[in-house]
Amino acid sequence: MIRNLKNDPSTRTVRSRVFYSIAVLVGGAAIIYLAFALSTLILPVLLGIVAAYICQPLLSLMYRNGISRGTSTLILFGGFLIILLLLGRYVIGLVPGEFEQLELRASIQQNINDRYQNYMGLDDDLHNGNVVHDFAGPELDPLMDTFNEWLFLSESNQEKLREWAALQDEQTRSRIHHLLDRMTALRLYADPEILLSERISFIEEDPGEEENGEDGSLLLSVLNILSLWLVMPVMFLFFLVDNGQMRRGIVAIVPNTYFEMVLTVMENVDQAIGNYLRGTLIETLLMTATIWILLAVIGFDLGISFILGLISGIANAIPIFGMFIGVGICIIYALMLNDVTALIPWVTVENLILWVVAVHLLAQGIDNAVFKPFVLGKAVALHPIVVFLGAIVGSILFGFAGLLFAIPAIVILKEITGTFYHQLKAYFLIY
Amino acid sequence: MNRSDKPAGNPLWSNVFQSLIKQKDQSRINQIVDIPIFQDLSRRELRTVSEMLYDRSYESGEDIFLTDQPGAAMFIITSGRVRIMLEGSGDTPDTTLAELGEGDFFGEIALLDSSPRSATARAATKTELLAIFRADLDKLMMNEPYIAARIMKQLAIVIGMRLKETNKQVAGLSQ
Repeated sequence: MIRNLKNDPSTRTVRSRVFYSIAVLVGGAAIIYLAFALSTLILPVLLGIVAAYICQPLLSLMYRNGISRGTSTLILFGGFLIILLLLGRYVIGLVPGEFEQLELRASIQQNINDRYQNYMGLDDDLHNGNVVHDFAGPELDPLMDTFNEWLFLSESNQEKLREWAALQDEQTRSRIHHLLDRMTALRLYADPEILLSERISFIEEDPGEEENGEDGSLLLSVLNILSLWLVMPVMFLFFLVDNGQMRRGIVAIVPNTYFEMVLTVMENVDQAIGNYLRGTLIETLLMTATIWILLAVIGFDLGISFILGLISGIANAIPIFGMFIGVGICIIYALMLNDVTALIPWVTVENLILWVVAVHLLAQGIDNAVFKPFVLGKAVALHPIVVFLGAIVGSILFGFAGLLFAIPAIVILKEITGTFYHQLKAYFLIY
Repeated sequence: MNRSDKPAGNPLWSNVFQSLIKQKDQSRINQIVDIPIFQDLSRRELRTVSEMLYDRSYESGEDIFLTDQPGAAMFIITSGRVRIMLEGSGDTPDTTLAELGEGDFFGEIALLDSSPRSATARAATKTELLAIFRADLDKLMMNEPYIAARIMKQLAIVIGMRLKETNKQVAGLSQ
């Protein structure tokens, strides 16, 4: 019986096809399930892999210059950890504490309202405005009210801030009292007769829970986030150490008919992805530097400009939406400023938002005219509608990680399907 | 005594998998040490080359590659026999150009470019092969140019010898 089975090529072919089809279906389903079940791990895992991918040429360069593969890997891993630690320390240092956050919220609210009233030419009663207000006020007033509701501090938070202010110096105390007084005096733009505080019904937090949150859950959540992000250096090391073993493992299960074709496809895709990722990295660095310099020119602090430039540069890797993320974050920071000393004489706190937008438009112009054509070439020849839909679907499915990696994923998928199609034809496997 | 013959040390702590991997490495090196294009290489260099090789197993009558397919890899026969042939069409029967056995290699032009295969290679018996991929050799040229240069030199010599042999056969046919 066994001999018959062994010597019957037709049933063996059928069995092979059934086996491989089931393996692909089960494997595919498992990958999709894991992607959703472990979605919080996607961003650190992918960033680790991308970093390793980008570092591969450096590894080869070091190896060519006589440094052993093991030593090169250790040097790169050490460098990666140091950069992560330094960046993490710097960013954590910039994150305000609980009371500073509350003050910041009140301060942003005051600045936004001041500027809105200024742009709209509103009088003290909020009844009469300029031409812009006559035109856009009916649309923007309710929006501002919603925004104010969102920023408004609850009774307990106001009390907390007052208690904290009592322990600070006179200047801080008076600043915070002034902010809180103005907050409680805010009126609705849509109906200036009504106080904002009357419109808002807060669900007061359970003090016990809040206390617990400060001491326990906050620490736990920070630890959770840290433990999640520990995956990133692990993935980086894992993929850096890999010397073709993964490819060998994949090729080992490929049927003979597809052997050479799969090797060629993997090589072509590998090159295309490598070029795309390295191109994107260079573009990101160039955009970071450009926005950093331009923001510093319009009066932003040099350190903050760097962080904002870096965020905007990374966000720029997301087509269409990326620029809005960068502009949005820079505008939020601009709204926090009460004073600005720019290299350009025309920049004031009142028109700073417009300058921020101008900076990003200029950076985008430089990116499209200079960086993209020289660095990326035609690596990302995707139709704008594909980019748009891809980014939306990615963000719906996997949140921020989906938004960030949707376009690279589409580029990779396009490269794989395109190369596969051409190779299948070249190897006479399809017509 | 070579490395694989060394005593394993404390059996409780000895790494079984590591020892298996080393044995496999040694066996691969032994398989390629007599291949003409690798004959100038040291054991250490052969180990580097052996890490680039892919194991393939073919049933009797199974095609390894077909005429006109783009070439991407060269194959070394570790066991079995392979028939190099021109496939007939219609009533024309297949023409066997050569039958190769253990230690022989074929498809070497694919290491130079992706031009179409000039003949079909088919396993005449159950056959085990080692494949070396062109892109891996290209990377070897970047990372280990001394090893790659010696392989390429031997490759040129082998291709030259085969060309001379073909010329002789053509001359014999024309007389």
